[in-house]
Amino acid sequence: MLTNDNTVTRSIRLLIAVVGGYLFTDGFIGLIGVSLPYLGWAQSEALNLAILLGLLAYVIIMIWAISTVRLLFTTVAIFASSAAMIYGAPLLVQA
Amino acid sequence: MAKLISKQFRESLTWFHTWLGIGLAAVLFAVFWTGTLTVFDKEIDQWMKPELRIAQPGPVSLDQLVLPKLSEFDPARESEFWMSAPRDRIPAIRVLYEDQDGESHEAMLDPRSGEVLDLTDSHAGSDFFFRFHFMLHMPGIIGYIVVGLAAVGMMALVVSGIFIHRKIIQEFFTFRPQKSRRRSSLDFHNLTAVIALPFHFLLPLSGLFIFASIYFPWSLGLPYDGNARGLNAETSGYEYLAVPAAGQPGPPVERIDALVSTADGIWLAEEGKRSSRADWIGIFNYGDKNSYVIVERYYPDNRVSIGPDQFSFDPTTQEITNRFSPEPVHAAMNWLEGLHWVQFDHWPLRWLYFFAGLSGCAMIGSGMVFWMQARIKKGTEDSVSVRVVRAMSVGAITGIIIASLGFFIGNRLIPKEIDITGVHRHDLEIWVFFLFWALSCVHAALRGREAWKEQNMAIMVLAVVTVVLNWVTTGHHPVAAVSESLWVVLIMDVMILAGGIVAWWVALKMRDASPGTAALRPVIDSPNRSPN
Amino acid sequence: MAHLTLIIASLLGLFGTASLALCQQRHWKSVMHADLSSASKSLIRNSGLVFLLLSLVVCIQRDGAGFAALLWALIFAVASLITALVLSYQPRTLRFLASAYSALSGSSQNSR
Repeated sequence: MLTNDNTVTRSIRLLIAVVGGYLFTDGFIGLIGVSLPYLGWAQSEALNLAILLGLLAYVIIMIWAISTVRLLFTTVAIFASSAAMIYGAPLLVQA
Repeated sequence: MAKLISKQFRESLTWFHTWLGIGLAAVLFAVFWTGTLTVFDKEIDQWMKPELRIAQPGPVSLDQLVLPKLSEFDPARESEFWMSAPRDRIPAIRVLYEDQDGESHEAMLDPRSGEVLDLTDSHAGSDFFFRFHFMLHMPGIIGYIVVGLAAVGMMALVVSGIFIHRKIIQEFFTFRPQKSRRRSSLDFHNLTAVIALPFHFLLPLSGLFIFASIYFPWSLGLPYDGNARGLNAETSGYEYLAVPAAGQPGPPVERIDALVSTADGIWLAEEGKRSSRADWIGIFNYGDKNSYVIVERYYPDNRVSIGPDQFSFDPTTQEITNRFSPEPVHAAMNWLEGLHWVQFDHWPLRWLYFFAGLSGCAMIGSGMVFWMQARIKKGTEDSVSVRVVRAMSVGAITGIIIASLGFFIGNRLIPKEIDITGVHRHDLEIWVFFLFWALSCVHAALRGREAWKEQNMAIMVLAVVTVVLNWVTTGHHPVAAVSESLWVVLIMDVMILAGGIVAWWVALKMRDASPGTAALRPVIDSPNRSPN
Repeated sequence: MAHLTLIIASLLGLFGTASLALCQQRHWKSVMHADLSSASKSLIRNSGLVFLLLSLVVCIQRDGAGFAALLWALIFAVASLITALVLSYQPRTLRFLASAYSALSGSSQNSR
């Protein structure tokens, strides 16, 4: 499947890597940032850790989107999980 | 390892590394180059603002030199003042304040007299190269976003590079200059990449972390009602230590030196002889009954970690009123940020950073050369893409070096007192920078294969011009620099000339073997051929 | 004192990277023009790792862990670069080190 990759699919992969990776990271930071305080973490500490892990996740997502043999599955997985985190994180914000 | 990495995986990452690398090369080179120069930003400041070429003063008294002058700055009441005594790389006293119109100012005071120094209006190193490093002198947040994407790309390039390097251990120390230009440029790219691998990953990571509130405003604003700066406020300590103004006039702050000694003494007792000293002292609610003083270590001299670490004082009783120190994760992040800010006083490490930065520039450059050689080998030398990339690499590499020299030349040639309505002098210097860069790019586009050699020769000529202009306009030629102990000026001149000689050597090498002729040589890639 | 410890850390770093390079057949050959025995190979590699570890210890002793992590990593980078350049342009320079290893491992490396 990969050997059949042409410029169009490769561009799509790159787009998913950058945009999908960004949405995933933003959602991930939001989710971890608002979740850890439930475990007793200080808000700033939770966010600082979330940013670091989120940036590492960005790189992993990029590499995955570029190298996956099941492009459709990976695309759906990245965008669905990003959507879930972006939708879910605000619900967990402590009043 | 080899079995874990399938052929498909490696092929896809090779494609990714190749095209992302060539796509980001120009931006990454600009960021690496200006970042490398920013390692010596304060030294560049001294070179470009000759009024700052002051021999290191001994300890100074802020009580005597700064406090009596505060009212002369015409500050707004209840505003804040920040001041910093001279330190290793900055020989002057710095004062930050807000005037009656709410405008912020930075003044540099002569450490001998306390007079405000009349500095050449230049953005120099700590304002121009420093800011260019993360926002490319673009309007708004466009530059931040371009650099941010390049930083994420850089991390992905490092990871994909590790996966596609077939013999990362076996070829760790391998550089074969006698082989084809394609082979030797790949060797050099691999070599410069792997030796500083942790830095090539940690610097983009920490850079993204520093500007996280710009890159991820939504998620960072979530816990703070949408205010992405909330995290910075919470971890800065200023809000924690804040006291509201009383609205009634109070006595002026008259003693600060003693407060600094108190804070330094506590840190010394807690951390031992390697403890860092205070670098910034803030007066809050200036002129108000509730004025208070914060003594902090923001860019500590003796440790990597930056970030606030503060005592607040009541200036009348001289008592400590409160204290703020970072929490564990934040402290770890402060180390990560500190290794990017490079504000500590550690000369050997600073020089190593500088050379590592240059080697990073060489990594990007050799990567571009390899890309072109690989296409030349395939026989696609005259294709549009090779010609575009060739012009782009010349414009990106020698272009920004020429532009930087042009910036120095402009700084020495534009008169200090120049007065053009509506134009700041510091902007004129920046225009010269971009003019030189634009000319280099045009030249690169027009001259094709010859451009690289010619621009390297231009670098040598401009380097000599730069140094001579410094001697002529300031009188600080080597003999004068040595006799007045202006080591910073001398070393910067020497480094500029050394860079020029390297460029000249590269130009001569180009004449011996232009890219085209070298490519026609048969590629010898027998694995057992010993270098001798 | 501060300068001396820095020089020691750098030299240890250089010995470390040079040893790690010499434990590879290709580089050993370019220095000694002879094959590397497997017995000396492990001796050289382990010595190289010990040199690098000692370099790190000296860095920590000198500046504390926060600085040492950066200082050591960059000393390693520069030492690796120097080692690689020496191996490509003047491999004979490393002959003294390789000979010392030969003598130490007691193997009969007949160098031409």
